[in-house]
Amino acid sequence: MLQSSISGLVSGGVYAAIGVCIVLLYSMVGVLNFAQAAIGVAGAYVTFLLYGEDQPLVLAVLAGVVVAAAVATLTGMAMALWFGEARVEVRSTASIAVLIGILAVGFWVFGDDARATPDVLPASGPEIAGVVIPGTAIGAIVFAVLLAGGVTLLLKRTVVGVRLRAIAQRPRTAELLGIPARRLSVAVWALSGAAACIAILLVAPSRTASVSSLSLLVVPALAAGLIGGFSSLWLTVLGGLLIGLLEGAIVTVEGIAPYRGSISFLVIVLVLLYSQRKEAWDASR
Amino acid sequence: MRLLSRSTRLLAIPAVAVVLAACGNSAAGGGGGGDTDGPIELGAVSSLSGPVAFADPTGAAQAVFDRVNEDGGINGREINYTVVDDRGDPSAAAQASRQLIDEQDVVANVGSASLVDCSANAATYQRQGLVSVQGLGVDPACFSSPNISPVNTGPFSGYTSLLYFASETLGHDRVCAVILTVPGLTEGYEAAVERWSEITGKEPVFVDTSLTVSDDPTPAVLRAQAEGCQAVTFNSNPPQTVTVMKAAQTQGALETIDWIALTVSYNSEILEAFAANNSWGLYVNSEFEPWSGESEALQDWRTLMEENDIPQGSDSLAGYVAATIMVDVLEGIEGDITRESVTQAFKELEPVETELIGSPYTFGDADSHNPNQASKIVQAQPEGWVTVSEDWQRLPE
Repeated sequence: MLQSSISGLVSGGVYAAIGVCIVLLYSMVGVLNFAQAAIGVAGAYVTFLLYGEDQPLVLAVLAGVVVAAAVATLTGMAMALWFGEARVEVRSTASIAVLIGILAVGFWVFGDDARATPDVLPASGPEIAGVVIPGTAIGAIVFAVLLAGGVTLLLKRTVVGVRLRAIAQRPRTAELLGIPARRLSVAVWALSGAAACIAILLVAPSRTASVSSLSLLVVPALAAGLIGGFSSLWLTVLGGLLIGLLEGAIVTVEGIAPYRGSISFLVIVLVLLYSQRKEAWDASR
Repeated sequence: MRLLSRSTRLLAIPAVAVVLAACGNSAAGGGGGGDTDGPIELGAVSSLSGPVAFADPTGAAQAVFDRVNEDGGINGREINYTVVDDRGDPSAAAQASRQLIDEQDVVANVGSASLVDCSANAATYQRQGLVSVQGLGVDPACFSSPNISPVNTGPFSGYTSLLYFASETLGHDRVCAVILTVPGLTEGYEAAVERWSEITGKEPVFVDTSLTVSDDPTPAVLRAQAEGCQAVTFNSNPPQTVTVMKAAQTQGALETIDWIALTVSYNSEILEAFAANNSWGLYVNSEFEPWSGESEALQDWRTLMEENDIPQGSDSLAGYVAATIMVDVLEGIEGDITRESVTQAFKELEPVETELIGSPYTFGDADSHNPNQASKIVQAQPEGWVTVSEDWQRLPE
């Protein structure tokens, strides 16, 4: 039980990192981005391609991150252009279209051939309770924590952060005060895309490297974001790690093990029930 | 006549046409597959695009038929081979079979390699009295229809042979079965484990169905280590195979446990991934004479594939085997080659011995067919795929 829980931490770290990106975008730009993981995957596949062509790993990773940031930037610009005034539901739905688009193109271009995914960090690592913790797992957790910490600092301690918060809370007022709202929100998109790409690169070696399965990592990440109420970055990190641990632990429990893929959904339902516990159902109808 | 309105007369014309057409059809040759002078129409429903694409089986079959045509055809009649893409979509597959049967008037299907052809069309083939010598049967329906007999072993008998190899050839007592769950297929794999138990009287240490094909396989690797497995069999597509081998290597389980996977991973691309990860040693079942080997039985196939620029692998070998069996049967038919006579020939077919398959290919009038019950095992090593069993491993009935 302990062993497989620990092995679940790799995934947990990545759920947390992608979850942080989602929460960041949601609170700053007002989009629940279903394509968050897929945008990272788009960049990660550029890395795989370049690495497969014997390019140096550093270069391949850099190119991947840049491409992911570019895809996110384009998405952000399209969002601002076409859905600038739309409600958050509409914008989030538009992100589903982006997800489906990336899935379709990815499938078409990369198919389902076996490919080697490079280890961004060393595959070997310390042994805890008889489980070798891959460098990527530690990297994923550290990355999630750094990302959450970095974003928190940025928002609280810098002028850019103050402006971002202003845009998030009073978009029109902020714009009237001369804050370049559109440019800043596109920058948030670019940052989230780059971060998602790094997260995907960290998890890819331990997962089936296919466009669809990596893109759908967004589901547990959304569950992590929900635990954080789509506002708290730290709770999101905790939530991601918790889901990873649970997924790992449940493998050893006979009977329910085959249902481990549904844990994210169970978490989503439970959090929703808990957060809505004071709602009178009749009133909210 | 004036009682018949203009519209009634107009209606009468197509009705007459239908009657005439029906007469014409039956005159031509009993239930379709008609024309006895033109080319012999053969068809295939294959997934050429979509989630998984198999282009090589029908490509290889086409090469075989082209050669037959160059040599003068079958009793002077050329073979016309029509391959229709089903895009991995059942409704497209159903449409494809209708096109082949109604428009092309095919006498049989051969070399099809599809995710959905059998499940979508088995009933149609049975109703229309059409046989299909399946090149690559994937879904369970390929092995449970009276009118379909694949030349390949398929995933389920294949999985049994992996377990058989682990316990009988490698002699391991602690064999563990990992089944990556795929909706609709998991039960078939579980039945494959039971079949192994019935054959050998042995039980697996565990049958793990906790992981889906996209999960991190590390928990299964850890479980195998914790329970002291000596061999682990798993049903994975090539990308997952790479991930499983990588997880095994990370956890130090590559040397202590034998990892055995299904034949889909037996290709040359996967070797590059193993090289990049330095995770060698995977055993895989080969459903035919291993294409990477030196056997002389492969000579004709190899030359033909080289001449036609078709990748050499299990897929093109499957198409080649299916097409050569079809040519032999067609040549053996006395009288007209029609759908009826071809179906009859297959229903009365004596077991066909070929060096490329380890058990005779059969059709006959059984309710279901899965004749290929033999495999040779190959292992991924830095120098390439190495055949580790020179003799065929045949599953007992």
